[in-house]
Amino acid sequence: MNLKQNIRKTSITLTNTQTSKAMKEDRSKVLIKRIMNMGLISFALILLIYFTLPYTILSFGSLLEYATLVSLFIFLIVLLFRYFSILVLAYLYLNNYTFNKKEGFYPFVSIIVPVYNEGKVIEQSIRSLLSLDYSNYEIIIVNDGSTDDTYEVAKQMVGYKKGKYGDVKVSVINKPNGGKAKALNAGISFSKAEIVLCMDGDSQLSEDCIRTAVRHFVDPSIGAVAGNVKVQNRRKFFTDLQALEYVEGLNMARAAQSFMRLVNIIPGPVGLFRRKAVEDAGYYSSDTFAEDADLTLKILAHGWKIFYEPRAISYTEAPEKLHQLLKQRYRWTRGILQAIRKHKRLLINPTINFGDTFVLWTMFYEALIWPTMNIFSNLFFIFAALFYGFSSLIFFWWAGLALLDMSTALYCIAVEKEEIRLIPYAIIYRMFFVLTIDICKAMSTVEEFLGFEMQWGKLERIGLKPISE
Amino acid sequence: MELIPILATIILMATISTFILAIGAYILYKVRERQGLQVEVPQPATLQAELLTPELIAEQLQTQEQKRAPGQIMFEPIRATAQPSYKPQVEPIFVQQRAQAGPQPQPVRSASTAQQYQQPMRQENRQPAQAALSEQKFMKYTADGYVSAKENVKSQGAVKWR
Repeated sequence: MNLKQNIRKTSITLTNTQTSKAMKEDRSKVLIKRIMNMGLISFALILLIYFTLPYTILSFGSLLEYATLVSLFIFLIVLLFRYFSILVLAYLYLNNYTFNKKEGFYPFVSIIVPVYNEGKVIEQSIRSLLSLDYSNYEIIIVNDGSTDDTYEVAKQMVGYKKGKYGDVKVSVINKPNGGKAKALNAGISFSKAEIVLCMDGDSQLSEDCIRTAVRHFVDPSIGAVAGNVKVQNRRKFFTDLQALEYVEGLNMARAAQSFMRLVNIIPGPVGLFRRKAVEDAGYYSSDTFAEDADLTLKILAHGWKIFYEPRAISYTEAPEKLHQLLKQRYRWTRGILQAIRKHKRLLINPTINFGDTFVLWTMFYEALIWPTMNIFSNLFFIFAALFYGFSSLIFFWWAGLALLDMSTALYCIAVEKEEIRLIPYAIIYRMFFVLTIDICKAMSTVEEFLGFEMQWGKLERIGLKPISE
Repeated sequence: MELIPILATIILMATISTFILAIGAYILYKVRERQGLQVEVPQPATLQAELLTPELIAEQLQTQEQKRAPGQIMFEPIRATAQPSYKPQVEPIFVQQRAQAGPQPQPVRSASTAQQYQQPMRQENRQPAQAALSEQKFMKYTADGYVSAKENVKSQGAVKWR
């Protein structure tokens, strides 16, 4: 029996208030204050070394060598500890995941799709959503003031569309541009479901994405479930490297965090939230550039647990050009640092919420300490090779890292049943790809610390093919 | 010539090139971004938006809004008068009704940091939820589902402490 498909257009009012402490501050004053503080601290440290060094057996030259060697040794230990702890925790999680069956919970789910100038990809995204292996869901597209034909394309999709198990309701909210966080909030407010799935407009979900992720909500302490993000546009140098990075660097770390139910970032392309957890956290905020990291930290701060579901896959379009990749990583780094700064009270006081403190330190380490160590170790080897002729040192360093990365890649690819052809990329992954990303991270950190202005960038999309192809 | 010095030279040159390339690309990216920098404009408190839904749903939503008490979350199935093939079921479906009498969704700890975040939605719902949490702390899981620990003690009969 056919349903009459008349579309009703109604006007709604959305809350747009957003308190942002950073906005109210005078930027130039903050900048000068920070530069002066940094200068004073550096000057004090130099004075301290200058006056205390004559009382030690070290000269200036040997101090430099000694400090570098100790730093390198610490870096190596930290690197190995990081790798093996992630692998062991991820193994324990996956072992537990494999033998712990949870099925039989099928709540009503609203899929929120925020779109901004996604005219090329929105139709394909929605079509992929209509073929999901789940019977109890609706789709809410939120057009965030697009300037291309996104709204026209989205409007064509409104109505009851044929899904895998029946008709699926598709609605559109058309609002003025205000950012992804506000668009997601508008969708969540309009939704009546207990569980909401937030995704990106340019992503496509795997067929069993909702079914596999939603079953974890049977545990009343789970506030959100993070999905597994994979790169779809492969077969290009940069995107293949990112595909390896997603598998080895992001998903495996997420699996390790999930063992402790403390996933630190629910990825933008796929995340399921319990409505109550989002309400407790005060919805998405627009005062950081990593709204997903910020919301995750707020949910954890309210005592909710977060799980990772490796079978809830979202295929996303990765940047194909270097400047697009830098743009993305610049936003991620500054956004994460903003989120950490917003929650600094939890960072320095573990008695409030130890889980959150642990997560914040992990994020701080990954965003700031790790890239700095990687850059300095490489600089040291270049310096040693150019000025002291120890060029073989850099080879052994590279060979060690490449071996470590290749074995990790082999393990991760076997676990995720990924493409084996990604493994050789591990040879150049750490030394060149990660180094480029780390330089971008370090520069972004300096800019964030000095309070430089930034804006949301929009990555150019070329449009994805259906995931079955 | 030995292999290691050759490889070491290649890696050294590649690492130096990566440094130069990364810094150069970053500077170019910043120059490109700076050209498109816009001035931030103050945002209004509310925004007018447009909602497009299938008509039957829009009518039902209006009637639901009229019936709804403030702050109450409604999970009513949306049905068309003409009995469409689509029958959304907004209540959770349990295959084995095991969670029927189980605890309601709650965070593990009651948050001491609750005040630091803004927009506490539906304050009136939170008090009963916290009360329920303290009751659920002592619930036992048995073959019949979750039962109160108090009831269990009573049913055990005359256990008295001397």
